[in-house]
Amino acid sequence: MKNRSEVVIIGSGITGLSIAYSLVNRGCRDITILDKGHLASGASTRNGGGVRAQFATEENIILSKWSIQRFRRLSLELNTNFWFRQGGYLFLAESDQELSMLKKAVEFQNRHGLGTKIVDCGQAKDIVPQMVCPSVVGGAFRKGDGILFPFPLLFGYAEHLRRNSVAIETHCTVDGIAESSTGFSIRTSHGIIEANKVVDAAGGWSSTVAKMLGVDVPTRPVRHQIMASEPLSPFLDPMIVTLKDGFYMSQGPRGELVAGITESNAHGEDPGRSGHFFCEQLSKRLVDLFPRLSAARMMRQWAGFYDMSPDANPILDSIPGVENAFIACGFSGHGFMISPAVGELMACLILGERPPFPTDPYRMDRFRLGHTSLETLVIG
Amino acid sequence: MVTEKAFACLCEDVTVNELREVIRQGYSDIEEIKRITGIGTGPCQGKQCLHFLRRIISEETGKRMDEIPITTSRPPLDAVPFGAWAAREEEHP
Repeated sequence: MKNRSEVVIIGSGITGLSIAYSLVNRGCRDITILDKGHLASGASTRNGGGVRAQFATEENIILSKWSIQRFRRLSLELNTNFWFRQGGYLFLAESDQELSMLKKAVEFQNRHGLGTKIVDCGQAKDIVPQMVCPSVVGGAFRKGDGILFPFPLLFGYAEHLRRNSVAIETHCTVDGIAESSTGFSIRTSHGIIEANKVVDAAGGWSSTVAKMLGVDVPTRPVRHQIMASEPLSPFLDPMIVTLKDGFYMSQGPRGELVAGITESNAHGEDPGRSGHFFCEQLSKRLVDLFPRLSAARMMRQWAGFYDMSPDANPILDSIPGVENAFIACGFSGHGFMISPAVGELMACLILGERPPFPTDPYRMDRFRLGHTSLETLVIG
Repeated sequence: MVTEKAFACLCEDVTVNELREVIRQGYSDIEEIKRITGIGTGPCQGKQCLHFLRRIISEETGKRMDEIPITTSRPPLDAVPFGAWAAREEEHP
């Protein structure tokens, strides 16, 4: 491992890699990325690959809209195919109350140019003909949203960065960070590395890393489960989401259905355990909406983290009181989909440039000052 | 000796050659190889291919077979129809 770097990023997930990519594009190449596991071993390779702009706050809409445009070009820039498909996101309401919430959200989104449409039950069935939904009263649909296949994108980033002489050290644990005359002295399982600037992009572990800098960050990892079916012939174009219970399902490029649901607390919070309960709860809902899938089989089930912040929005900021330290965490389940914009925003903060996005809503001190705006469209 | 064009993973069409290339690019962690190539993520869930993959990793890296783990096994042990999960009675603790 190198013993010094201009910038050290802790975390090789989508956030760390996107930040490095934006730094390289701005001419900053003396970067080392550290990860305690294999490449992108946390939430980045455990998520459902959904990408949407249908959010409830202005800043999230701005970041996600920009990111979707970026995803459309990124395959070419990175020379990798990550199967980005804009089949849309269909949110389903099963009560008048949910429908009026969707209508409000859509009106807000359309003021920001998203072009989301309110659909009735019949139109929802036109979009997903196989769905049987006596309980559905309507929905919201935006064609520009979609899904991608996370790993090829992460792998594409890593390869591109290595070609640009960025070092990525995997299986390298950070044990402590001390401030030094030139910046930081980072103690790792591979030795000490000196850095002028340090970036905490450690996902579910970011509050632990922040503690090494003496800072308390109000985010915590929450376990979520997800599953994949055996490959089926293509029938589901959009990602569907039910508001009632956070059920979501999409069909990936290989024909696998990928789905999750908000879990009731019955099974406990132990992140190491996966249980039958999730499979049963999810399957009941899935068969309810798609009776024909009763004979299709669940192939694999796993768990990952949402790094939850108090207002379900990320913290993108320099770390208050520690010069040249930065943090991007608390993504609350939507980090992957806004990662290109997050990379740009953070690279600007790190290089002392003015970011092209609003930054106040993502500041760390918003919790202390009470200036939070809750993101209500969190799924799963 | 298998030929380099032989399929190591019949579910996801991964060849021996592809595995060797990925390892030579520096990805020797079995979890990374799984995610990059898709090996072991198809309907057999690795039951047919993962030990063969371990052998290839061993050949390429010089590590002993017992130093190379398999990927984390995910439930269910064998694919289970959604209808069977959905039909299970509610549990009352």
